[in-house]
Amino acid sequence: MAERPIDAFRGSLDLLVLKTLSLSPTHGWGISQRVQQMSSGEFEMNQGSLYPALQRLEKDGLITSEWGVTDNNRQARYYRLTAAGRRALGREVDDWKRFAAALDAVLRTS
Amino acid sequence: MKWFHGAFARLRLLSRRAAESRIDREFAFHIDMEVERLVRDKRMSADEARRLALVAFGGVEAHKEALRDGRGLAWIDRVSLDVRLGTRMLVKHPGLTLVATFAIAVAIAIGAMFFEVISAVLYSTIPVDGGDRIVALELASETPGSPERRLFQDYLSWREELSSIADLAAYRTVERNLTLGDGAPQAIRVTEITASAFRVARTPPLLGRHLVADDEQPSAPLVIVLGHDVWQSRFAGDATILGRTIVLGVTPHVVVGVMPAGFAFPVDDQFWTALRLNPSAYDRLEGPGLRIFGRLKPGVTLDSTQRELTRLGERTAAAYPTQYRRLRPVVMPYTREHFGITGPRVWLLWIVQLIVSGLLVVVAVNLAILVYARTVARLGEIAVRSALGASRARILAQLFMEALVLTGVGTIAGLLAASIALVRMQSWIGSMERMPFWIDLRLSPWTVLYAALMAVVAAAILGVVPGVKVTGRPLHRYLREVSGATLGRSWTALVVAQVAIVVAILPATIYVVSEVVRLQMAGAGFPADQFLVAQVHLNERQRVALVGRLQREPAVSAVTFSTFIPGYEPGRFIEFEGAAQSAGIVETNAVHVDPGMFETYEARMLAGRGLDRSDAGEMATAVVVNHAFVRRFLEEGGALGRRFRYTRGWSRDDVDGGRRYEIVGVVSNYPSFPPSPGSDGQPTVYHAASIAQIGSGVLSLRLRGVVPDDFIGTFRQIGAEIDPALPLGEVMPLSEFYRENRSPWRYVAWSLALVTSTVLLLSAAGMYALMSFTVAGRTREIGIRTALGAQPRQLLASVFGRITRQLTTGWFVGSLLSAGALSAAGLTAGRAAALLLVVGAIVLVVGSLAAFGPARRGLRIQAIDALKTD
Repeated sequence: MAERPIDAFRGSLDLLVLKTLSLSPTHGWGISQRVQQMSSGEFEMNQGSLYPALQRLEKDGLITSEWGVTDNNRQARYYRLTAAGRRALGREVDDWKRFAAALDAVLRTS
Repeated sequence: MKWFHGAFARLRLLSRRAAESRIDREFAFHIDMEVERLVRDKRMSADEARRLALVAFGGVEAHKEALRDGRGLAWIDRVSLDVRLGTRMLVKHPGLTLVATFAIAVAIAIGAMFFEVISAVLYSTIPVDGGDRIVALELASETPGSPERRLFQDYLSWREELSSIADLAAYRTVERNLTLGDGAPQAIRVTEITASAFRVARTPPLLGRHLVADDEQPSAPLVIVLGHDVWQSRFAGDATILGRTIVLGVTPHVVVGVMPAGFAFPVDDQFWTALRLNPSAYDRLEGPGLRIFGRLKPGVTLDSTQRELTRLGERTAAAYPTQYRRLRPVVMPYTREHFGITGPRVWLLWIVQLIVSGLLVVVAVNLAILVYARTVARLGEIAVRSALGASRARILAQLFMEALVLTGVGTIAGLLAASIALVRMQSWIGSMERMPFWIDLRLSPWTVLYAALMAVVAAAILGVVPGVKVTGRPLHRYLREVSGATLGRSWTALVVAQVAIVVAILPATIYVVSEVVRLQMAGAGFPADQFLVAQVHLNERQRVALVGRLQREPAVSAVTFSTFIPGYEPGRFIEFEGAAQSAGIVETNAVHVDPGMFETYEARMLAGRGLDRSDAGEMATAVVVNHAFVRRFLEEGGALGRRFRYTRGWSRDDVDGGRRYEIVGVVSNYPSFPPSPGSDGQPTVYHAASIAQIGSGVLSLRLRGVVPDDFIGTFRQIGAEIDPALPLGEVMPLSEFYRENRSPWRYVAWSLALVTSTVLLLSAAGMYALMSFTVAGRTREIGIRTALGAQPRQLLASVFGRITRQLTTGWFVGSLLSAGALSAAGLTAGRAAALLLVVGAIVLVVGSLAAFGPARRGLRIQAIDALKTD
């Protein structure tokens, strides 16, 4: 039986979005697909919940957006990281690594 | 740059339409892309792919709602919805809307007018450069509002010694006859002013120049500066006016300048000549009355100027102890000095404003009763909203917004009424008195803000207070009973309070209105329309010549003099001697009259004798008092021989060297109408004076019939024939003078009647709502009892019995409140009781009329319909 995919934790949604956009600008559907691909299918986010996170990040000035045209000639809203977003990504990654290391240390304790 | 991207993103979210459009397009794109992927990768049908894509996406509307909440502007949508609901409620309940809008409009209009007037009086500044730095100086005496004006020597020393004030100026206003060409002389007001005043005002002339220091020299040519208004109205805006000669009295003056429009310094003046006073001609506290003002130096405060002035005042008092014993120099903002508003009087004005604002609170409380009934009828709706998740705060916010729509409409109507009334008021005051040029009684932004704030307060009382009461109980009970609840003790208390308020204020209003009508209807006791009065300032030669000439005029039957117009004499303080000394110092009017005046005015001697020429000597002590004086201070028949002295204000300081005056006669009141509502006459003391002794005063002409329209012109022509410089001030028929001076009471009565009618209307509406509510709430009971055979009248008696008890309780409480006020106003117990009975009858009639509709509905209830009622 295939393993059930892990729901993306709500708290790490912002980190996933920032990381995804750090690779290249893309639209909302593209972000959801990229997260799924990068996690090899382990993270399967509630796709609609992505948009409130995008709106929040845009209001905070960490990402910005504009309308563009896709390869198949469709109008899509493209998001990209701002300089502040890059700095925030760095901080989020550091925080996550510290959190993961601490959790790992606790779990290894017998 | 982070803030820039964030701000730009928030700005884009402000447009609701654009934001919704973007959401729709993004979601549509996302779902379409997912459908394409599923069709391509999973080889699903289009329908199946779309279904799975929507499942994967999650609830579209829920995500949209999350995005809308995330915009942070959901409150705008809520407010917009509440305003639409509030507007719908206005239309749905037209009776309540009309009553409430009228009542709020009246309260707001009155409050806004008071606020505008008080703000204008207290906080206006002179509309010149740095007008808030202009101050007035005076010598205050112990009698508030009566400063010493003979300030010439003080002006000279302050000008030399005060370091806080850059330019000090002085002026006085005189009456002169202006003669243009061959026309009749016209009395005008001329301001004799120091040249420094124009430096204080810092306003360049439109044409020519100001007055300069050289113009004040006795040998300098006489020059005059004109105001823009008179330049336009009397000289047709003559561009060649400079250098033209105009005659003031018999003295030619050359026009040297014209001031720009809007300049009327120091009060509302249009003619300025140089003030020429000889310093060696006057001693301390001698000379003409002057007003002093100046401009504070940069960085100097009013407090520091007062300290410096106080030190100077102490030095002067030390050098001249007798003259300056009870005088102290004060400095104050220029505008406040004009109105005499200083110290505690400022607070008094704001207390008045607070009381007037309280009127809106009273109105709002009354309206809250009506709104409460309506809110209780909506309990079912409110319970459903609560069950769907609306918090109590959200429900109260909606009720507040609905009430704010109602008070907003009333406030707009009130402000419109206030703006019209203020314009009329300014015009009316300007026709009666000197209206300072810096006063502009148009609605200011601060007044509009005040009205808006009051609208919010009223909305809180109207909407939130009933809402708190209604939502304070468990609402789930009302999911079954959509028609609402029973009424508790608080409702009873509100109705009783409402009736009590009406009963408390209605008697006072009826009393004041009836007194004003009595005042208006009362005659003078003599044919006032046959008298012409004129303010005169004559030397002896002019007086003798004028009186002689007028007495030869066929239309004139008598000529007499006094220092003031009958009925409008100034107040003075006296203290009786002997047995009456325990009465203390009392205030009475006092006037000097020509001994023939009583006969001219048909005043009858009631006791003792009248005045004759021997009573007009310098050391004379005989006086006559009027009947009102005897009634107020002495017993009937006990006036003759009584002695008194004048005092300075409420202190026991002597005036006239402590001379004792003896009452030798009692004359009937003239005029016989009361000076104010509630008064039975103004106590007055009459001193005899010869025509030679009355310098500035009032000339009274009695004609053989009603004063013809053209007689005033004839009178002025006679004066000009005697002496072109003869200063004749205001000339008018006495009946017209009395009518103008009593008109303010008409406005008071109208205002009171308007306010009381508003409260009465609110009470009627409240009683109507109460009775409607009661009938609606007991429909089932009425139907059942009718089906069981009860008589309709018995049913209504039981339904309205409670209401009748509430009305009676309210009348009783209001009567207690009113009785105190009427007693303080001096009414006898009998008159007060009669008034209260009249008010009780009015309340009963109003209550009956209000009950008529609901009672009729109650009588028509069919049993079968009532049983269906839930």
